[in-house]
Amino acid sequence: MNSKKYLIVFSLLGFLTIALLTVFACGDYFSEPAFGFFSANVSHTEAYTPFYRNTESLFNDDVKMDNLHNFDSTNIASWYHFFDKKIAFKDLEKVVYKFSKPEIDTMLLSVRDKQNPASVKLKGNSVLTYPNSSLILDFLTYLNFAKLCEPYSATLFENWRIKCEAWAIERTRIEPVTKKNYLKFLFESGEKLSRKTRSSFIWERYMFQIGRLYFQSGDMKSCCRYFERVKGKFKTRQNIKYRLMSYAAGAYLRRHNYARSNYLYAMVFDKCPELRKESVIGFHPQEEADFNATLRMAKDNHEKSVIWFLLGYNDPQRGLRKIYELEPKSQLLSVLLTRYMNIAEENFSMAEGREWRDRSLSPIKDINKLYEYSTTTIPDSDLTFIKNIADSNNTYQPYLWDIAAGYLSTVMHHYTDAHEYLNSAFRKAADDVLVRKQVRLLRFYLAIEEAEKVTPALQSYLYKEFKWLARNDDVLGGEFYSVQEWACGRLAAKHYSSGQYVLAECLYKGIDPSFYSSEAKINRLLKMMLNKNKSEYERFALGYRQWGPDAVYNYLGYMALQKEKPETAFEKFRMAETAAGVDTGAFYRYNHRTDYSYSGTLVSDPFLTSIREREPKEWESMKGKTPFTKLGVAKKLAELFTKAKQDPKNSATEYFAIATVYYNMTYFGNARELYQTAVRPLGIIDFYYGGFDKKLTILDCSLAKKYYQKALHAATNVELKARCCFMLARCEQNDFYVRKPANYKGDFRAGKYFRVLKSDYAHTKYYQEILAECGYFRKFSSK
Amino acid sequence: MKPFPRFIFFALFIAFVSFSCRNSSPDPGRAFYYWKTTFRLSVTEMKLLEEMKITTLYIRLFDVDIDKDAKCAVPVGQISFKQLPDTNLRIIPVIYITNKTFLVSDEKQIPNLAAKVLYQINFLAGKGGFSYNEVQFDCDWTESTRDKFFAFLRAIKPELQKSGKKLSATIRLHQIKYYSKTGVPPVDRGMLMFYNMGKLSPTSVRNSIYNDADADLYVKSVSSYPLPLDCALPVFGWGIQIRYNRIIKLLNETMLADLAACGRFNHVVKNSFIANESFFLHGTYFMKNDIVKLETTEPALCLKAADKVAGYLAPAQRTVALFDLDSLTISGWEGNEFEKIFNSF
Repeated sequence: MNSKKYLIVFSLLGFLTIALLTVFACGDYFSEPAFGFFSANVSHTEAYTPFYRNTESLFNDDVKMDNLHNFDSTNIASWYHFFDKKIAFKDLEKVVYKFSKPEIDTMLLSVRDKQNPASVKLKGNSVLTYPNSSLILDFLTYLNFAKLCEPYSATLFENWRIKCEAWAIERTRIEPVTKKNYLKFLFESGEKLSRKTRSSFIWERYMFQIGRLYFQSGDMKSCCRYFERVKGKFKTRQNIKYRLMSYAAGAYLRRHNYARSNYLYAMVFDKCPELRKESVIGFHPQEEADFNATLRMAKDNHEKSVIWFLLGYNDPQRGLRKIYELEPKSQLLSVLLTRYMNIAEENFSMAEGREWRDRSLSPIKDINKLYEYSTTTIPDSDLTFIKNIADSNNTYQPYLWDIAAGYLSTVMHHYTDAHEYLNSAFRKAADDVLVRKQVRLLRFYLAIEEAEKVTPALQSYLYKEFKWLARNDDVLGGEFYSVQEWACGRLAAKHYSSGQYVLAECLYKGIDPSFYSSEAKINRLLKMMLNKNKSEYERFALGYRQWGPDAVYNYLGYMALQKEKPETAFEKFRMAETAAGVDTGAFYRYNHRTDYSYSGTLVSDPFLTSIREREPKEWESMKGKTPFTKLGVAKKLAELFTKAKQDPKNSATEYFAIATVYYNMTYFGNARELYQTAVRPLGIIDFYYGGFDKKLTILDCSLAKKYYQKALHAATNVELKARCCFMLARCEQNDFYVRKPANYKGDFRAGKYFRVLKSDYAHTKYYQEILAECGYFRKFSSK
Repeated sequence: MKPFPRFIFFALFIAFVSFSCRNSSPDPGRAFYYWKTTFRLSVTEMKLLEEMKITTLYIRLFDVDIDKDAKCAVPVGQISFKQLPDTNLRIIPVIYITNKTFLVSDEKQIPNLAAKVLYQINFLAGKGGFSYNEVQFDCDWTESTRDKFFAFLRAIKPELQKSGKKLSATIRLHQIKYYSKTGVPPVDRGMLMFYNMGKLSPTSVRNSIYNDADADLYVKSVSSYPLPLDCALPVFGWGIQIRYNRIIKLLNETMLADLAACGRFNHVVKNSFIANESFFLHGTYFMKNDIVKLETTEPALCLKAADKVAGYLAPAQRTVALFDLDSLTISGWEGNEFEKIFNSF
C-alpha cells in the first residue's frame, strides 16, 4: 500500500491533518514487520519481484535522482546488436552519451568525406571504421537530431517546472523554454529525416523522439494523435514502441481519457518489463465505466488478463478469479497468488500483532492468543477458491496452489487438508529445491500448530528443524529470526499450558511473571542448565535466552540478600564467579561468561550515604581505594549481622551500615551492581523503556527503613540519630514518588521524619548540613 | 472624523456590548474558512454568508511542502479564483505549511522562504482582487521544527508590520495544553482549532472530529494560554475508508455524497457502511467489504463544542470561524443553528 500517496492527496486538507498525522506519520503503523511462512521466491516469478507485497512503497526509489538514464544501457545494447557487434560497446557509449553535438558533426563530415579531418579523440572511435558508411551516416544524422531534441525532451522538465515556476517571485526571472517555432522546426525536420533513412530500426527511433517531444513540450493532443498514426508501423522487436506507447498513455491520462490510457499502460506492462512499475503507477481508472471500456479494448483473453492483473494489484481476490477464468495458464496468476498470500499473511499476523501489543492482554490468561494467527481475516470463499484451483491442477504452477491451500488450511486449523495439500505440492515439484524447502517449512509450522503437547518426539523433530532453518534462510528471504521468534512464542504457550514452566520461560521471556519470584522454579531452571544429559531441544531452549548458570547464581545471591541471608548470598555469588556460561550444544554456543551485566566489583562505596540524592561524583570517593566486591559486601554484611545479633543494644553503627547497604541496593542507591543480572537486567534501560513495575523489590525501601529504625533506636549519639532520621525521611520520599497517583503533579509531601528532624535534632551539626544541601527540607523547615 | 461623534459611537458600542453578551464578551466577528483549490461560491454559500452576517473569510491560498524530486519547498495546490471574493468581506489569507517543510529546510533558507511566501501571498491576493490586513499560518509544528517555524514567523512579521498587517497562527489543542513545551508562536493572535482532538482509529466509536471526552482533556488549558485567541469550530465531516481493519483513505464530502447515491453500500451499524461489491469511484477503488465510517459534525455537536469552549475563553473581542464553507455540509443546517453557535460566545 502506498501510504505516501494518501499523504499527498490530503496535504490539501492541511487544516484537518492533525488526526491524520497521528495515524499516518506513525511509521510503524505501516511498516510493521509482518512475518510469515510463505516465500515469494517459490513462485519463480523473479521478473515481477517489485509487485510482490512489500511494506516498502513500490516506487520508493529514493536513491535514483531522476529517470533520465533508465534506458542508457538498453539503448547502447540495442545499437551494439544493430551494428552486428562490430562497433565497440564503449565507443558507442561515447558517441551516444558523451560526445557533444559539434563532435558528432565533425564525425558526420568525416564519414561523408574522408578528406575532412577528425581529431585524435574521434579518430580512434570504431564508429568511423564501420564498413557500411551509409548506415553510419544515418546513425550519426539521427544522433544529431536526438541531440537537438535533448534540451526539451530529456531534461528534468517536471523539476524545472516545480522549482522555478511555482514560486511567483522566481517565475519572472526565467525565460520560457518552450519556443514554439523551434519546436515546430524540430517536428518537421524529424519527419523529414525519418523519411530518408532506410533502416526501420533508426526510423522507429525518430518516431520515438518526435512522440516524446510532443509529450514533453506539453502538447498532449498531438502526442496521442501522433502515436495513433505511427503505432502500426513499428516492425522491429525493440522495446522502443512501448516506450513511445507509455508517453501516449501518459498523454491520454492528462487528457482524461482514462480508458485508452489504462489500456495502453496495460500493454506496456505486458510487453516492456523495464516500464512495468511506471505502468502500475499510471494505471488508475476513475470510474467503473472507464475500467469496463478498457476491458472492451482488449483484443484477446491475454490482454484482458493483463488488465485484470493491474486491477488485481490492489485487489488480488478479484484479479485472481477473473484471470483464472480467462487464462488459467497465465504466469500473472502465479504473481498475483504470491501477492495475495503475502497480503493475507500480513493480515492474519498483523491482527495477532495488534493484540499482542495490547498490554491489557495478560500473557498468562491469553497465552494461546499471543502467537496464534487470526483466522478471521481469511474469508472461507478464498480458501475454497484456492483449494478448487489446486484440485483442478490446470494452472501454470499447480504446486503453488497446493502450497497456498496447505498453508491457509493450517492457519484455519484444517490440519488433514493441510497435510494433503503439502504432500501434493511435494509430489508435483519434487525436483524443485525451493519448493521442497517451502514444503518443509510449512510442515514445521503445521507440526507446531497441530500439536496439543510438545512431546519429546516432537521436541527432537523441532530441534532438527530449527537447526535446518538456521542454515536455510534463503527460503525465508531473511526472516529467519522473526519466524524463529514466532515458533518459540507459540511453543512457549504450549509448554506453559502443560506445566513445563522452565521451557516456557526460556522460549518466551516474561510468559510467567511470577517465575523469578519463585525459588522453586528458578531451581528447576538451574537443574536443567546443569544437567549433563539434557536433550538437544532443551539446550536449544536454554540457549535461546543467551545466559547461563552464572546469571542465575547472581540472581539467587540478590534474592538471598533480600531475605537477609548474607551467608547464602556469599555462597551464590561465589558460585556465580566459578560457573561457566551455558552450553547449548551445536545450535548456539555461549561458553563465555553470559551474565553481561555481571560485575564482581562495585563502582561506588555501598556503605556510603550522602545528603544529596545521586551524588554525581560519589564514585570519585573510591579513587585510589580497593573497590568493593559483591563477595566482600556479602561477607561484611554477614559480620555486621552477627555483631548486631550478639549485642543489639550497642550496635547502632552496625545497623546503620546494614541499612545503608540495603538502601544502596535499591534503585535509589549507588550499588546497582548488586541487583543487575542478565536474568532480570533492571536498571536505567528498563526505566527508559516504559518505567518500572511499581511492585519491584528494587523500588522498595522497607529493608533499609527497618534497619535505619533499629539504628535510630539503638543510637546514643544525636548526630547519628539525625542521620538515621534523614535517611528514613528519604525512604519516605522514595515511597511517596513510587506510590503517588499518575496525575499528581505537585511536590513531595513530607512524612513523619522531616517533622522529627525539625523538632528533635535542630541543634545538631548534621541538621545544618541538611539545611545547606537539601532543598526539600529547607522548604519544609521554613514553613 | 471629529472626536466627539467618535466618542459617542464608542460609548454606544460599549453599552451595546455589555448588555447583549453573556460572559461580557463583545459579539464575536463571524467567519468561515474556505479550504478549496478553486474559489467559486455557490448560491447557497453566498446566501449563507449574507444571512449570517459573516464579516470575515479565511481563504487558504496554497500549501507549502517539500517536493520529493526537487528536494526544496514549493507551493502546492494553489487556489485559482474563478470568481472574486466580495469586497465587503474581510479576507484573511491562510497558508498551510507542512511540518516536513521545516524538518527538511535549512535554517539559513528560512528568510528566503519567508520572502517567497510573502510574494506568493501578494501575487495571489492580486489575482483574487482583495487586500488584507492579517495573514494566518497553519502548521502542526513539533518540538523539532518549532525553532524554524518560529524563525519563519519572525521573518514574516516585520514585513507585515510595515503595512500595518497582523500575523496569526493556528493553534492546535495539544499546543495549548503543552505550551511550555511546544512554545508560543511569535504572532499577534492565535486561532484555536477546537476540533480534531481524538485519534483517528478504525475501531474507535468516538468521533475523532469532536467528542466531549477528548475535549475535556484539553479545554481547561485554554484559559491560561498566553495569546489572544480566536476560535475555529468544525462544520465538516469525512469518511474513513477501512480495509482489513486498517485506515487507507479519508474521503471528502463530495465523495461521500456520491457514495451514498451509488447504492453499493449496506448499512452496518450507526455510522458505518460496508461495500457490497468492488468498484471504482472518482479514482478511488472500493473493495468488497471495505468499510466506510462516517464522522460528521451535526449542528447539535458543533453547538456543544461552542458551549464547552466559550466558557474557557477570556472575555475579549474575537473572531469565531467555522471550518469550512461547503454547500454540501451546510445544506443540512438551518440558519438559526449557525446563529446559536455564534451566540454561544
